[in-house]
Amino acid sequence: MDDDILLKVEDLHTYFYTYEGVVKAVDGVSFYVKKGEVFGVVGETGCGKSVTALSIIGLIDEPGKIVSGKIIFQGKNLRELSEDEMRKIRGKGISMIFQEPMTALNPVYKIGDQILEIILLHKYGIEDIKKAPKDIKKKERKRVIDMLRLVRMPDPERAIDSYPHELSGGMRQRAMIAMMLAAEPSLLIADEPTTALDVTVQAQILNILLDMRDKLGISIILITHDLSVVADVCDRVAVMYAGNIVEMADVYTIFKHPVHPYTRGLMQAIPSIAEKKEELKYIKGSVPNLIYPPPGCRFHPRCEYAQDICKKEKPKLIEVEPGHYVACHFAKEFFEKEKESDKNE
Amino acid sequence: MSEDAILQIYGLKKYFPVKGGFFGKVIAHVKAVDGVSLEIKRGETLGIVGESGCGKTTLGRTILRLIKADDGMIFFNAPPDVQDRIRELVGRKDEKSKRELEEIRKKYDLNRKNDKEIRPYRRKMQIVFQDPQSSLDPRMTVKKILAEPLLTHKIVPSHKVESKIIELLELVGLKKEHLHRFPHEFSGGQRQRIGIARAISLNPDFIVLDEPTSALDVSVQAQILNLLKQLQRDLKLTYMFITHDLSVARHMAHRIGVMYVGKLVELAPAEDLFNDPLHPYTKLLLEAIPIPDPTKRKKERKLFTGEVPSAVNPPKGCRFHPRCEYFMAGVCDKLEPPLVEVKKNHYVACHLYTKG
Amino acid sequence: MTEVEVTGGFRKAHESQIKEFKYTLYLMRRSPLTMTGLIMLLFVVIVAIFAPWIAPYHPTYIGGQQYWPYDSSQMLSPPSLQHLFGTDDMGHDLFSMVVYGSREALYIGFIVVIVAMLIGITLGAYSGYVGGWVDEAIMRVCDMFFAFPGLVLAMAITAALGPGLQNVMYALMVVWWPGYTRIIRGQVLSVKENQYIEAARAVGLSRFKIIWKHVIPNSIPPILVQATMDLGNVILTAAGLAFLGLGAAAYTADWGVMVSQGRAWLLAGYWWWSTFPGLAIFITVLAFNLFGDGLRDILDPRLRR
Ligand SMILES: Nc1ncnc2c1ncn2[C@@H]1O[C@H](COP(=O)(O)OP(=O)(O)OP(=O)(O)O)[C@@H](O)[C@H]1O
Ligand SMILES: Nc1ncnc2c1ncn2[C@@H]1O[C@H](COP(=O)(O)OP(=O)(O)O)[C@@H](O)[C@H]1O
Ligand code: SF4
Ligand code: SF4
Ligand SMILES: [Mg+2]
Ligand SMILES: [Mg+2]
Repeated sequence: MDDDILLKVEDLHTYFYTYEGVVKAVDGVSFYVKKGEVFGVVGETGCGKSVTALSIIGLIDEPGKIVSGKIIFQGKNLRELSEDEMRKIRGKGISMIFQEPMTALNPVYKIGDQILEIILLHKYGIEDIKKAPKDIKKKERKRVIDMLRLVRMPDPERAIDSYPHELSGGMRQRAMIAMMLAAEPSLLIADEPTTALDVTVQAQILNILLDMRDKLGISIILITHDLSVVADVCDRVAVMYAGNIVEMADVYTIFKHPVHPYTRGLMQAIPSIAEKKEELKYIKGSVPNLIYPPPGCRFHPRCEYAQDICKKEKPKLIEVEPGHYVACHFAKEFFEKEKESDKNE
Repeated sequence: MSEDAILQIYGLKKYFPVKGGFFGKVIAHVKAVDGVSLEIKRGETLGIVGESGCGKTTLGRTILRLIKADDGMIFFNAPPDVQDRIRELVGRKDEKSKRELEEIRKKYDLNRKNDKEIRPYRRKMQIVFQDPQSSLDPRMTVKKILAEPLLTHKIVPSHKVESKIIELLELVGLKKEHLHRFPHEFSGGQRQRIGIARAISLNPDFIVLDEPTSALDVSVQAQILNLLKQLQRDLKLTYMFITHDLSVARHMAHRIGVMYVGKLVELAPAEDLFNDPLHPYTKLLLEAIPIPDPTKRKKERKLFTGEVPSAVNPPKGCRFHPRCEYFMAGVCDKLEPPLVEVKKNHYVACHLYTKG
Repeated sequence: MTEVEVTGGFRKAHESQIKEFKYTLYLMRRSPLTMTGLIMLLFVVIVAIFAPWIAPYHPTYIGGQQYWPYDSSQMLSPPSLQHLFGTDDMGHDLFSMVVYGSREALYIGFIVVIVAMLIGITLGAYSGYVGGWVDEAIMRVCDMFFAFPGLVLAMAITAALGPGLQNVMYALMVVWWPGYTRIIRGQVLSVKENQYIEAARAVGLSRFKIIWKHVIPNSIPPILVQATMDLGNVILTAAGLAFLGLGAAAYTADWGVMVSQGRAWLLAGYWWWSTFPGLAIFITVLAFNLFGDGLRDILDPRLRR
């Protein structure tokens, strides 16, 4: 089974050393991603999703630091690699797309040139696009157009000569996906790729991501705060809360039998398009400050089932059924209850 | 249609100039709101949905006269008999009716009032903004932020301001400890609560809620939506709820209007809109929403093509025609479909329904 | 406004401000250059305040004109224990004059910058917020001022008004206000986009109140940086004008005048006359620039969460 595991993160801790104190943004996160799967990471703002992603591709900057843990990608622990080796992994091994494409696209270069640069760098090792031989440039320009066509950019011949600001939000996101795929990575991390987009454009972008997976066989880590997006496209999901993974399972299981009180709370808080409820159930309070996270189970101040033990002991991630992990002291009981109520239906 | 309407708008238009060239000449116009007519009944929530840039915010801002409409009428809180008369007069072309309407407009049309005359109306209509980050002055404490409207309109004598503020804070679920804090010390949800407290501080009748939860987490969104519903019940408020999230609209609204590139394309009771969407664009929107249930994944992934066109040069005829799968050449790209009542209280602007 | 005391004392009511202040101090402590600037600045300010106690000799004023005691037997004597910075060609104690000169330098700097800022804030805020022809008119006037190099304009104005400290200051104010107007206007244009401005309008605040309560307070922090650096630049320009003979009268405690007068003697080996006031100018201008630079980082909203 280990063969088809592409990425394995073990007990990752990433902290930020700030004036107010140490922000424990990621505090003991473990998961794995299989080849060719779409792995979803959901959670609310500030629960450590982006920091997890940045830790994986080694882009944590001052005042942040990976304190401990292993990140094993294709059998190599990325934390032991030099910055040079890491740069090679970035792009060819792992690519990342961001919520706001403008931050990743260079405003003063044409879209086509930016994609071309990446192709040249990874295929020919040419750092400076100006030094590239003409015939190679010509040949690869075709590939750039193909890439843009792959992400269903409308009118790719025109887009290739456009500057980022001349494109709409959806087109920019497509350009960035094309750029990130240009180096043919085996893992694509998409950090809220559709949060800034409209629903119809979101649907298009999600379709493209699934397409890429099917056509190129890459794995995707899809970070989002939207459970509906997860339900729509992911194969397996991890739910994060305050720097921890609280529940992890395949998508059908987790939506059928959500076990952790946080996961259940999230699901009930979504207004449904299918039926109208008078009142929404909600989770009281808000995400805690990660400098002084609550002791024990970090969810306990907001949890309606919290007991004394929850305030003292941090629950471990345990397997309640094959492939279904939950970090809650009462995971087993909740799980049984879920199953029970399922039978009654 | 003679229910008490708190707001009646007719043919509202707002064009923003686009400047360019060397001397900043106006080279084109963004037709952000292009002829919108609707009524909002007292005590209801009217949802306005649509994609980014379709003119939802602009519609809300023009109604509140935060920006001045280029054309159209806005009647706010007109007496019921006048409301009826307006409805009768609006369509008529004869001189006598026009003159009578003109008289009514002079008295009631917000679009005819200057900045000074508008100020008393500000008490009665308020707005909650989308971005809780930028809607509160970062240099003011909560107390100062909430005291401002109270003092401006002399809602309470000045020695009672502080206790009134505390009352407001409690109403929106904050505490008096928060009085002297700055906005950046609050979470997004809490900031939005402050924004809501500011809006209700003047005891308004009508509030425009411009995507009040789109910057918030789902668990917090649920808190705010519940709070808004509760305030509506307790304070007898009328809402215009702007959102791009159809499920939120469904949860909050009694009636929903769908906008596309500056125009209202469909207006219907919420249940009706979801059970029986008529306009092809509404259908597309409903299709595109992901459902939070993996077992209901769409087997066939529909290819959503195209994007929202620019409001500077909207397509001729029906603005949706370049993306529409029911496109009828020679009709849809020539004639602009009017908004007509197809079923009871269900209005659509599409040629599929006008031909008969 | 009478306050109902429901929320505890001063400390509690200002808890947030105190926290902000502590954070500012922390950021300052972390930046060595800012601290260097600040220490140098404090040094200059202390010298200015305590000049009468620091300097061994003191001027007398007759009809607004400054007269320094002198000792002809000590003419052009090099630095010694008795005269730390030496003496000039009349036997004035240069140390005392440099010490007193700090008062004048700071005085010019602060008055000019404050007046220029006040003009700039008012015009810039209205220009940016109101827009239209008001904006157009104010900006075109600013452009006219920008068309001349600052020093040349200041020289022309001082020359027209006649030399003297007051006139130098008027000239500098005239030269400096357009800069502030422009920065404030730019700042206002971006502050204006914030939704809290619209919220204030929705609540029914008048334009006047919006400008003074919301727009201006939020536009000022970025110009504090500029103002700090300008304090140094104004002092430098004033010294330049004095050097050209457009400032205070000869033999007054003005650094620019002193450098100017000593210049002729420099090559003859009497280096101290120009050097010490020159150093004083250098230190002061550097101090303001270092501190201003540091302030930019400290006030950076990204650092401030
Ligand atoms: N002050 C303005 N000047 C020029 N154009 C404007 C201005 N305000 C809005 N627009 C344009 O008007 C159109 C409608 O904008 P509006 O803000 O009403 O959209 P919206 O539906 O609220 O979108 P979103 O969902 O992104 O908030 C857009 O094309 C926008 O660029
Ligand atoms: N550069 C940084 N400096 C300090 N704290 C940071 C930094 N980046 C992220 N954090 C903190 O780490 C936590 C997790 O952040 P993030 O991973 O961005 O959340 P999200 O799940 O929304 O992507 C938050 O508390 C955030 O404030
Ligand atoms: S461990 Fe306790 S507090 Fe945490 S989720 Fe489970 S029941 Fe709630
Ligand atoms: S009018 Fe024509 S193009 Fe427009 S929505 Fe109806 S069928 Fe489609
Ligand atoms: Mg993030
Ligand atoms: Mg909007």
